[in-house]
Amino acid sequence: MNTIVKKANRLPREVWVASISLKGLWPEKTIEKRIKDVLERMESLYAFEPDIICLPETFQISWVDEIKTLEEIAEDETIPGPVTSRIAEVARKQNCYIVCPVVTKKEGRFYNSSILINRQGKIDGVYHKIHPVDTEIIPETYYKGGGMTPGVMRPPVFKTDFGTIGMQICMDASWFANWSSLKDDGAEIVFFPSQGPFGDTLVHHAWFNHYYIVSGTGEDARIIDISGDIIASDGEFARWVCAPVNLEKVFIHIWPQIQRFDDIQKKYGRKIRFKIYHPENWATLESLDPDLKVRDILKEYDLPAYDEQLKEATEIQSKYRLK
Amino acid sequence: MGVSVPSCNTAINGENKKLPREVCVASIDLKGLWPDTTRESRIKKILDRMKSVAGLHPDIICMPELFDTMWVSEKLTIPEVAEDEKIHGPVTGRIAEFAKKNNCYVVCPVYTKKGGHYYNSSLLIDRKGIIAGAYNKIHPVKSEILTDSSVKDEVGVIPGALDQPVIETDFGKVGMIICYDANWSDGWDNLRKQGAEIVLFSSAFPGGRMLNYYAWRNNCYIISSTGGDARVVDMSGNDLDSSSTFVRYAWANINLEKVNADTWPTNERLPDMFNKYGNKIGVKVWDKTGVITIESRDPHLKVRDVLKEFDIKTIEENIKISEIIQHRYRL
Repeated sequence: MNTIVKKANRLPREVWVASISLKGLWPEKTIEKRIKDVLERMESLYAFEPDIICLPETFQISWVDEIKTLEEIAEDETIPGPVTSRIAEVARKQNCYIVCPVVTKKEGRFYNSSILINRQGKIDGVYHKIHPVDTEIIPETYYKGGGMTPGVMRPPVFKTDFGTIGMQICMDASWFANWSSLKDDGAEIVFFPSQGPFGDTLVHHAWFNHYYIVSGTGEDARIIDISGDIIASDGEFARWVCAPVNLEKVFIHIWPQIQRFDDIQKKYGRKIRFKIYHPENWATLESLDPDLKVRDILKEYDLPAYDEQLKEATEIQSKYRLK
Repeated sequence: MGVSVPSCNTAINGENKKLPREVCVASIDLKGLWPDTTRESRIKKILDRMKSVAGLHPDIICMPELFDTMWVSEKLTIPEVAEDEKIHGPVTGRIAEFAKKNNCYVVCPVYTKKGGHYYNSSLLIDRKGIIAGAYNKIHPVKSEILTDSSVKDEVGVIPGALDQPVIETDFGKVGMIICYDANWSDGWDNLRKQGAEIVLFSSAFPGGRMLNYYAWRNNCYIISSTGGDARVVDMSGNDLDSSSTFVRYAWANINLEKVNADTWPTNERLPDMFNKYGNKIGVKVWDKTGVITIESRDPHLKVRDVLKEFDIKTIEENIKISEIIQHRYRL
């Protein structure tokens, strides 16, 4: 469990992320009971003053006996509906963002969506699951009263007051282009509401794209570092996670940069933190000082970030490779 | 320590016979052999370490990147050590002799010269000691390409072509990847498209979770041989074996008559499959990577036929089918 750091004492780019799992809340008889259980589980998080909470995929209907048609449960994408408004109320009271995954309806089509609710309880944006399962899509197979339309191939990113975020849902994890696209568009944290937990798949998407992933699923809840390390995961005695992630952090290839690490550590002492990933030859460098930017340190020592190093290497390789 | 994957080592009808597509793979690491003073000393030590695994009768052994010169203090230029890609040189000749004597393939990573250019390569030597193919590192480190111009006779390597081949062996299709290449996915994707079933990774650095990722992403086994460790990674993305403090090599009997399937809905079909085929099939649920591997343990049973019978799709097939449906319904 993390020591609670009050908002006033946090680093400028320190973001407290949280999520809950649905474990132990299913099977469930009614939608109303599920919503109440989810709201109750969320209450454990408020003492941490989280900046954002991620809820599991279609949390109000997943593994619930009560069956309603898509028309009956679908919510609007801009104005909070019956479920979104209850979640929006929490967001406003707790002064946090919430990733609220519900079925939405837009121009006559249904989507498996994640709605981003801001600190004022307003809807900031929506993500439509790009890769729904076949049975979700084909009408009357999994859902009553229709099927889900797959979202457009390029997922949106959203600017929040703490950074740029993206969202993915469940089976989206089995594809790669959508995750890369979020990286290309600057996502620093990706939220992953899901039914399945997707184990190491999320670990790999995190390190491959160098962003944090926060998952809230039917089985677990996790916070994954940009290196793929698990920062926090839920368990038998707490079906939620809340922890800080530092966006003032950069991913580096250790060679030949490691030759300068000692000098940097000597100069900045406890104002910075290196973590070395020996087998992979990676490192992360983060600033623990509100007045120190990691990019400024890299610039001072003429060190490239991982992506910059690979970009330069690719250019040199292309130049020398036989045509 | 090495493992014998149960499915592979299961005696069939009481006889300890190999399955038709069972392959014994082995690799050694360089740990404890560096720094070394001379190239000759290094080669001798490497050959000694390889002898440690010879008794397993491996079908293929993977050696570390540039094993004869890596972290050796004897100063030798690339032109002095580079070998031909097709005809044995001083080092490949000795490794070829080992391959022939032990009736195995060997991945032999050395500098090579072709058309006046030098490459950081892996040569695949076959059971007869003949060079069956070459892989040229496609993403050398900057300092390998741009050498120090102040040093006399210093030359660098050039990057290999992006479309490196897979090589047919008598047990299946293999591909090779070298060290820094692991930071790009293009080389791995290229091998997958050509049907590589095993990728041999020779390297200075171990690769860690990167190799687990590529094995899972490409549905292939990865055998690594590096400066820090040697590993056998399953197609599910999980480690099957790795070298350790007192044993600096890794090995496993792997089965190429095996596929990756999604955990769901495959889990729902398992009981029927067990009822019909019992221990003629091997099933392993890898919760950590969300994969179920299914393999045939019977020489007369093809795993693809079993999948078809129970309407189970491999992960790759599922992705293809889903994309067709998603495309049809997407605006």
